[in-house]
Amino acid sequence: MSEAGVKVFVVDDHPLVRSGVRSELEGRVDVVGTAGDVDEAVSGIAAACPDVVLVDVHMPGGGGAELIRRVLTAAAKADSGSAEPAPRFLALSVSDAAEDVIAVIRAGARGYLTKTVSGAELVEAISRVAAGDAVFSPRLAGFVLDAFAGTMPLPSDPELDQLTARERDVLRLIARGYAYKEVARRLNLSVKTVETHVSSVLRKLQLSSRHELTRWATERRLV
Amino acid sequence: MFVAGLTRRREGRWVAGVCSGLAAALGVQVGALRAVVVLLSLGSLPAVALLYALAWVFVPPEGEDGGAGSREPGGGLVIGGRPADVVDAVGVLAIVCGAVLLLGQFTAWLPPEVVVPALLATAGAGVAWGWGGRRERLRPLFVAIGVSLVFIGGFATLAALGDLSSIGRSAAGAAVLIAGAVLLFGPWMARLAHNLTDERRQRIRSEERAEVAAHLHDGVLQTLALIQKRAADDKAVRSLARRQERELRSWLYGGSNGQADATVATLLRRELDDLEDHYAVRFDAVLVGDAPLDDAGRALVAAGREAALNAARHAGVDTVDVYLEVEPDRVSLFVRDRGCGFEPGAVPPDRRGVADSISARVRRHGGTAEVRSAPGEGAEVELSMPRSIVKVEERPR
Repeated sequence: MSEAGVKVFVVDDHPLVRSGVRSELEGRVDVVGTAGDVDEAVSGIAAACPDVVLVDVHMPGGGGAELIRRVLTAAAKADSGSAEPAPRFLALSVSDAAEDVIAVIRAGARGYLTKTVSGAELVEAISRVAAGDAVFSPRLAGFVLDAFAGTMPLPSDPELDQLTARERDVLRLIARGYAYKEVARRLNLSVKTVETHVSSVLRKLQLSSRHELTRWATERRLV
Repeated sequence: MFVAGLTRRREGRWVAGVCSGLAAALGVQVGALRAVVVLLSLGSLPAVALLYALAWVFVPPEGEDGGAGSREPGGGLVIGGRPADVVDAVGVLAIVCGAVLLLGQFTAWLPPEVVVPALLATAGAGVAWGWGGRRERLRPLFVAIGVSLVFIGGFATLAALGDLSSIGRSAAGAAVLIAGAVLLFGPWMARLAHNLTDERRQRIRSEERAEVAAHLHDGVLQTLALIQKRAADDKAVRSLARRQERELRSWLYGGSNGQADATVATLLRRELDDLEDHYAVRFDAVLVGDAPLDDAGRALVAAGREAALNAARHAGVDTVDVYLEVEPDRVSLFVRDRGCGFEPGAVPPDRRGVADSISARVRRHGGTAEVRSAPGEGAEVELSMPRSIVKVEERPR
């Protein structure tokens, strides 16, 4: 999928951020619409059929997690016979509260970036998400490492409740500020393999019933 | 509120939730506690019943403590669900009736002519404050029924005691009336006290909110004014904005408000903030885990500060990644930039010295330091320190 062909929808309750993101993406991806709250976004997304939705974590009307849930359930209902696949979501936020971040990811976002990200990085992340991969910023990688830290005496589902040593290595490098390409070079892996590891971590994050994850996320409100 | 943390629980209760609430507060099995209560009742049911009734009145139900939002909506008739208020009322009646009956049984001088009216009176009180207190529309009706029952019971008791001397009679009459009044108004006053504390809590909360808003607005507005004034000075604007951002974050997300300054993560955060104030660099710090600060931790953070300072001065970039991870057996710190880089074998003397001071600091405490760099490829400093006391991590956040 070429970058210019990716249709992007921007959801943020601050007009300033919307226009800023739009101007940063101009010419590199196709911004098909913007919205300022959840209701507006649901109808806008249904009309514009974007590939990727950039979504703010905090918004009036339920926030990013609520928006993702609504769009995905609507898409699941209309799935039979519909040609348009559900859009993919990328959370873009200034929020650093772990519980907010984990909540959007668990609602179905494919990644999380802080708003300090550069335009080029944002475009790369968008095409990555459009291709179905996961996008982990250093901060998200840190959150995940923290959430999955420690050994549970009896994980209820070892497949989902624990990270493999390799996944941990990959996340550590991402947390240290390495791009996927650099992670691959450092660990002698292909970029594809790194992407696979990251996607599997994302899956664990979304599906793990590990009660520690929720407790951790609510306990930890960090800078 | 009367006893810290003690509430009556709605879930898993038998009567009013006193036992399950007490069990939760004491951290014991509710079954065991109930068994003890039943045993005690065998000894003296009236005493236990009285205590239970008192606990019922004075221990707030679960949820009331959490503020207005968590209270049962309306508290009205629940059709199809559990009619909680009816259970409350029936429960109170059953307990008080049982207590009076048993009292009558054990004390022979109390004739049935006294017991029956007393029952009637307590039933009236039960109706009056079991139901009347909760349902706005029906309150007058229930209070009326309750009051008349109490008075009928009172007069019947007086009539039954009619053979006593007139002094005894009036004393008994007064006692009965006072008892009735206490039964009627006691719970109401207790509830009033609850409402007052609720109100006070709300007021404190809104005052707190106003204070936070004032602080934030002060800081943010001030910074914005400064930024407008110094709009031409790129560097100053950036550092002003960054400083304000940090302050806001520490307000919003808690953290280093002075109380938790004795950890590795908070010390590192402070050192980085300090560097940010002096250099036009942003440190993207990811901190995983935390540990109390010891000498080794202090040395690690000091070395990390040198590395960060190095990156800020020489790399020629505006963001530097910092990663701290506390594991049970070691603490690792990485400082990475994507700047100009250098040849580690052929560093200029001034940087050689810094590298030495970084690694010497860490090695003194049994740690390791490694510098990876190549011209044009940025640089990364890796510091690792074994933890002296290996213990299960309890994050002090």
